[in-house]
Amino acid sequence: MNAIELNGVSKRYDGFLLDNVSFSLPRGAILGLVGENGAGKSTTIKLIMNAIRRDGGTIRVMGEDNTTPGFQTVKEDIGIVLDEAYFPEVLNAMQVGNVMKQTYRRWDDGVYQNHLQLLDIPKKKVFREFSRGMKMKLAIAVALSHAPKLLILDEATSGLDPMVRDEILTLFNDFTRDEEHSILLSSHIVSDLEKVCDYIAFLHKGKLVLCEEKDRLLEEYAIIKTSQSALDQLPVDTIISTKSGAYGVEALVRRERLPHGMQTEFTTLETIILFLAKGGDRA
Amino acid sequence: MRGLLLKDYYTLLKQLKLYLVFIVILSAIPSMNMTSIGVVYAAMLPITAIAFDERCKWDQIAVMMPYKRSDLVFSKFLIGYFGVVVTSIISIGIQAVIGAFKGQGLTTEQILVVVLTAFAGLTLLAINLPFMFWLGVERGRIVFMVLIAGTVFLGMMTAESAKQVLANSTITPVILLLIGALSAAVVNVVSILISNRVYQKKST
Repeated sequence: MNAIELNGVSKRYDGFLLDNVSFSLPRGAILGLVGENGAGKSTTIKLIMNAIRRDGGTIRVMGEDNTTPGFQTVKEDIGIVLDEAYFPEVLNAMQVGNVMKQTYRRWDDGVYQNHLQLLDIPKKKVFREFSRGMKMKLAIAVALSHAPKLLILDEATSGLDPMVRDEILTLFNDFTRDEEHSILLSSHIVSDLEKVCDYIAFLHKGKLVLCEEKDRLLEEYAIIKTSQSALDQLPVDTIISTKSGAYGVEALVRRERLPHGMQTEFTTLETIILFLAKGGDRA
Repeated sequence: MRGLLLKDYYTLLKQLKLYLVFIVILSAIPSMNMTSIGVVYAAMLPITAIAFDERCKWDQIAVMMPYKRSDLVFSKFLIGYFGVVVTSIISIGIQAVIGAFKGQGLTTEQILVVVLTAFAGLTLLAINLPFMFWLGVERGRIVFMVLIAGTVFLGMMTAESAKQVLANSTITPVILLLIGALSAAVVNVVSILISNRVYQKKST
């Protein structure tokens, strides 16, 4: 069963349309929702949690339609971390724990205390004095302390230093060791997603450009650097996108369509996404 | 709901300490206006709680937790009710203590004034909160100020004639209390319904 399923979901705001988005997150997997700022990642997360009303489509979370009363119970299974939405700034970590104890039925104070210790979060310092990294770590500690089966994390790693990011990504990896546990992780830091995700969904200007297994993406696409004349000799359906420079042309291509022996560059998820997002000269 | 109330309690903890001192001092001054100020202050507690929530965008994350939207709305009304009830109890208690020192008991009029002021406070709260949910704290506060100014103006204009009407009428204190309680209850029920609707629409 899928942890999250979106089918033809749309949402219109003035000047923005999330257009017919469909993807699913299988249980036990981590799906990275990637896209530039304003691509619709946060809107998608709000729609998944039924925090805003959708204009079309269906959304099921842990098998439950998220508009039904039963979704209220499903929320117990979801740990949530949002970008720039925190706990009131006069609270400290202990008070946040007390509030959450009254919020989630399966709240485990022992687990919470362990996470506070593990992530080096001060217990008595008020939230207002926390750095962004600290705030995120506390939000993650809360999200992990009520025995969730699904984590939904909106830009949970952005703005953090590499050490903290690595620490948090390790926590996410540990979480998905249980095959019932899944994570939807939205970010515009593709390198983070590349480290931990099994699937990548790429949103661009409100449209879902792709949703595929990360490894398949890296198998399917490649970057080549060549001359314009050499590029012109390739079959048209090989080339996805190109970028001309002073020393030749860089192109995102379908690896399987390349002539045998043609050399490719080291290709990362980030370069693939960048080519797909920018479109290049030919998209 | 308990989580939301606990969160607001922690948020308002500093204000609550000041508020208690404020109420005790005001209640010790034998004047109806002083109790009214205390009740108005109590009616402002939910506004302060909403302001803290807005600053950290708490609502965005709270609607994704196992809370109903109606819980988020009703918890703010509960804080206001708590404030008004506590203010009234302290006010009556302190007036009783002062009376005891003077060798006088509490008069029916003293109790009536405090209870009616509490009903007025609950009504003020009920009128104000939908605006807070609709406009947010910054603009909602302006509405609150206008409401207070309007109430004070109306009170000053009608106080004397109201006293005369009451003096010449057959309305007993019990009937007056019942009318006050019923009005406050009706206004609050309507206000909660409107606030829920406003909140639902706002978050879509």
